[in-house]
Amino acid sequence: MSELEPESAPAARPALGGDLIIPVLACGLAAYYFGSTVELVWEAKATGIFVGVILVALCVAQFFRMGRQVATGAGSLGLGDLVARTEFNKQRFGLLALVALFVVTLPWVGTTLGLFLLLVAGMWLLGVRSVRALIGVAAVTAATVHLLLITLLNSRLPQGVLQTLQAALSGGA
Amino acid sequence: MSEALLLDLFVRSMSLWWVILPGMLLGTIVGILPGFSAQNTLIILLPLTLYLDIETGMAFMISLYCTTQLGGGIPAILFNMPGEGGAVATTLDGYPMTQKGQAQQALVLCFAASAFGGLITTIATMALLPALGKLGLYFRSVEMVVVIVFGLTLIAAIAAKDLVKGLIAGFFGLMIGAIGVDPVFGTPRSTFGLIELYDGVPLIPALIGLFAISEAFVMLESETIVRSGDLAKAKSARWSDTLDGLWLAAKYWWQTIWTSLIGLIIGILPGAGATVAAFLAYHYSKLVSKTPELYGTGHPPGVIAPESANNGVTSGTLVPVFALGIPGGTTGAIMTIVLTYHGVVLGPRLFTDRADLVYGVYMQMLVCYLFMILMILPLARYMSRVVWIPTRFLVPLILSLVTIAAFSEREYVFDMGLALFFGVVGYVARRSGYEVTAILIGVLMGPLFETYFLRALRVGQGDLTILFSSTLGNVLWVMVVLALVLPWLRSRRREGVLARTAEAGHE
Repeated sequence: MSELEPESAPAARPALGGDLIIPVLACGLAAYYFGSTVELVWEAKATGIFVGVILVALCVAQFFRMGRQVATGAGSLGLGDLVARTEFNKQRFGLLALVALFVVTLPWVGTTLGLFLLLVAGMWLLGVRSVRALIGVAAVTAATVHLLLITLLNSRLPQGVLQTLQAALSGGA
Repeated sequence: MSEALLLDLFVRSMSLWWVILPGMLLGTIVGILPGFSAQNTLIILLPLTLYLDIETGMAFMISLYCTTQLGGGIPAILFNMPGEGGAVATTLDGYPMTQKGQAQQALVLCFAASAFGGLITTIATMALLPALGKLGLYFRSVEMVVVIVFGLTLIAAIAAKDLVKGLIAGFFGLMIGAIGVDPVFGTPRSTFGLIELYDGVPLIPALIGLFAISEAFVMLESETIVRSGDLAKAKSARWSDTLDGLWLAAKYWWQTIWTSLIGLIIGILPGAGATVAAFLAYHYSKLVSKTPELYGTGHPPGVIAPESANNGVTSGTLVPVFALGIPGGTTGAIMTIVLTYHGVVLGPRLFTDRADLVYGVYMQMLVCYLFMILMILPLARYMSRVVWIPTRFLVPLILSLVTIAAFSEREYVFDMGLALFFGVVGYVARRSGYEVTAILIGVLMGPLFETYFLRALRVGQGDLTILFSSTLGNVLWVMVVLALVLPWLRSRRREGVLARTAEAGHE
């Protein structure tokens, strides 16, 4: 049995699974809206139901369109580049995790210190290796945000350990 | 209005340069930072403006407010991240210009459209002030429903590439906009049990997530924002390129005039604001253009239309405040507080009793726009260089700063997480061909539509024919239908011409 020539090998089918994420989310939201507003008077839910019905109809049309593409072999249900183990995706997921960690730990770590750490880690993840650049950019940005938002504009951004330290130092003085 | 009074007001306004310039600087910064709005800043600075005398306080507030609209266009053009809701439509053509190495030209277009658009509408308002004051009375809930529907038809225009996906994106946005308590009874809907969502999905985290965070995730794949092939061209940009932007702005002068007037009219209407104005102007500009297919690819009128419209709004905002004593939005409400604190009685008699005050405020606006014209060239030249910064620095900076900016509107850590969620949704939408702009139009206009729609239904006691009961409303409905049908007819005609040309060539 002869091997297939590269020219005659079947081309990889485009992954269409990613196209499903938004319609699935949309249908989920519409279904939740319908379910959670059953008890309400019609005026309170009229607009949402009107929008939701059209949205579900459009999503069904999209599912049908994609189903036909998959059935005819014009596409597959894979997620393709969206979750492939590429360098860029690793960086993306890494940054997403870092920002999520920053948000979750913000009340304890505080804005200034958290921002500094997030910037150092984020730049390092994207390939910056110069310690001077890492520390310099992160420190200047964190200090500017602290001065502008916390000191001058009196924003209620969490200050965390830095505030505790500041209070301890001023209390001890 | 005598010439002597106008001259006197002009000199007095110029003498307030010491408060106008800091106001402009602060306004530019506030505009650039997503999450910081003129309204929030004016509220924070209210004790200061109440302390100042009325003329100085108003000069500071006016200069800050006007420049915020200009500032919002800067990140929209450079990073595809609108600093203000009114600048969302600017991303559609501004960012593609940056990617082509034309950031300088795009910024000049934005600044020139903002400054001249603001200048034109300020002069128009001064000339027609008492008459414009009555305009708001003709736009009731029925007419407002049609205005919002007209804005929503932009979803269909954006969806032109893939109608089903575009409409899914738009209606998904509208569905998100339906989250929160309803405007009539105040009952919560689809809030997932989260008290933070009772007021609806906050706009700033949605805007930051859908545009800024998702764009940062895409951006990290390239070395710089400017495409590698166009980077050398961008770096070799000279003053002549800056002047080229000015030439482009002059070439489309008529566009600046009529789109800024759209902004003025929308500004007068209660609740509509800069976002609706910018989208309407962009949409209408595309509709009447001879080259609609160029919109979305980095076409100069696509930057001019939303920018001149959102600055046109600034003049209109104050009209109902002065003429009726009714603020159309938050900015108008803050200015009403300052004016009434100083004992000013707002209403029609103000034009005769305190003409110097009313026209003085507009003269301050005019002076602010004149100063803005002087800023255009140097600001555009040096700001455009930001896009040369490698993305390995830019992406972490953008991600961290916009996440913090998401906190600023309501001061909830929850909003930071929400922005991140919308960032992921926006990234998936971009990757799978669902327009994030269409989603955002839905989120922005959905609650406005619902409010006016329910109000109209209440007036009509549930009868839907109330929506077709006014002459002005019906004229607007015809415009809505034309907005939907004209592009379709035009594309059919073009296809027909192409087919005939191909046939003739074949023969």
